Formats: sequence, structure tokens, C-alpha cells
Amino acid sequence: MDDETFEHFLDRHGADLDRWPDNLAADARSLVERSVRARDLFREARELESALDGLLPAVAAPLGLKARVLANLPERAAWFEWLAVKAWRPAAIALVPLVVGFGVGLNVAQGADATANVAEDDVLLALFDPDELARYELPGTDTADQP
Amino acid sequence: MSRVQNRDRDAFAVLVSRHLDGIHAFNYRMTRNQEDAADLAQETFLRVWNSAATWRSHRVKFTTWLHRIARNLCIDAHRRHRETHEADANIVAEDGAAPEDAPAASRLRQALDEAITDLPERQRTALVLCHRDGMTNRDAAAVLAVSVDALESLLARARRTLRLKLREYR
Repeated sequence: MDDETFEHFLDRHGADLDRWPDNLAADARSLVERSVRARDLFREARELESALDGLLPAVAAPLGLKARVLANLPERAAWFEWLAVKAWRPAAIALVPLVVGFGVGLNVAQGADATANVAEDDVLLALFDPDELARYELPGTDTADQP
Repeated sequence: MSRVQNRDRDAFAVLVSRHLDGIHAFNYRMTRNQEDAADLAQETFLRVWNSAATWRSHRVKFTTWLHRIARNLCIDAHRRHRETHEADANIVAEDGAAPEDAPAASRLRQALDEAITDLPERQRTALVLCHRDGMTNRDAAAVLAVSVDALESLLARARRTLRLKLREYR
């Protein structure tokens, strides 16, 4: 590890070498012992950490905040609690047969439509094709004088 | 947490006791204001209570989820108060003593304080989460929804900015 790499990792992992990956921390400790520049960088990083302690203190929550949080929880009606927490699962399960029934019904209706469409196509074909029309000719009618 | 999801107020009280100091400290470090930090902590736990049913243990750790809520509220509060704070800062700058008159340590502290405030939000959050006995890089990365590598990059940029500021006062 050289000074430049050390500076790079110092910015990424901070001045607490215990938080560094083990292999890097060992290299860094060795570098700090032999390089003046690395020692300067390390001192500067520790100064920054120390300044941050003052600027980013771990301030405890003020007394009474917990009580305030708990006192301001919204009250919900019992029926809403029951609906929101307990009733939605059975209600969802009860809806399954309804959804399945709707799906099956929709498919059956589409099948009936398709059969009706085929019969309609046969009638149209007969109107435009004389041979086909002959198949539907009624007994006693004469089609010979037709052009 | 599963009891809280079933609207158990006693369990919620235990949860608040366990995490209130941590969330308040996070909010304070983000906002630098005791009153705002307390209000945001209250709002954070209210959101937890109202949204508890949406939390899934297999998807995200509870502390990660909690800090994500707190962070989003801090961002919203910062947006809401930005103009007010800027106006206040101008008044303080006009009325207060000139920076040159203050002792060097005090000027350094003020400069670093301003530098932290001026950091982009993601860099500031990364720094606040990981400073000293804070979160591991992995957990902080989860709060910010970035990779560990990206988090370390955010930390590196934040620390470099602050180190350069420190050099100006040495």
C-alpha cells in the first residue's frame, strides 16, 4: 500500500482502522509506521473524526418524548381494527369462488358466441355461391330459368 | 414487530423504548435541531404504527426500514423548511459577529458545520449513519438502497470534502 492508496481507503473507511477490512488494516498500520506522509494523513483523518464527534453528537431523546409518541397514536374504531387486521383474509378467501365463477361464466359465454358466428358464416356463403345455394333449395322451386 | 402488526400497543411501547434514542440521534444529526429531531422522531414512529402491516421481515431488516422512514421524513422537512432556514441564516449572518472575530477553533467548527450542511443529502446521510459507533457499511447501504461500494464512494466524497475544509483552517 502506498500513500495515495492509503488516502483513498482512509476516505472510504474512516480513521478507525478497526472498521477496515482486516487485510487492508494490517497494510495501513505498517504504512503509517514507515511513512511520514501517511502519518500526516492519518492524523488529519482522526482530527476530522474528532471534530465530527462534536458536530454529530449522539444526543439522547428528550424526556417525555416516548410518552408523547404513545399518546399521539391514532385511535381507531374497534370495527375498523377488526376489518383491517382480522377480517381481510377470510374476506379474500370468500371472494375466490366468486372470481372463479365469473371467469368460467365469461369463457362459456365466449364459446356460445363463437358457435353462433359459424352458423352466420354458412348463411352468407350460401347467398354468394350458387352451388352452395342449391343445397338449401326448397322442393318445388325451379331454378332453371335463372341466369 | 409481529405483535405491533396486530396493533398491540404494549409491544409498540417496547419497540419505541428500544429505538427512540437511535432515531432521535439520527434525526438530530441530520437536522442539527433538537426540536425538529423530536418532532421527526414522533412522526417516524407514527408512520411505523400506521404502516406496520406493510413491513416484511424477509425483505428488509426492521432497523433499515425504520431509518428509511426517518430519512424520508428528514428530506421532506428539509425541503419544507429550506426557504425559512435560508432567511434565518441571512439574518444571523447580518446580526452576528464577523467570522474573523471568532476564535480559530470556533471558526473551524462553524466552517465544518456549514460544510456538513452543504453536503449532498446522500453523502450526509451516509456519514451520519456510519460515523463512529453507527451502522456497518452494509446496513447503511441498505438504508440508502445502494451497493456497499456506492456507499463507500459516498463516504469517501463526504470525508474528502470535509478534510479539505479542515486543511483551510490549519
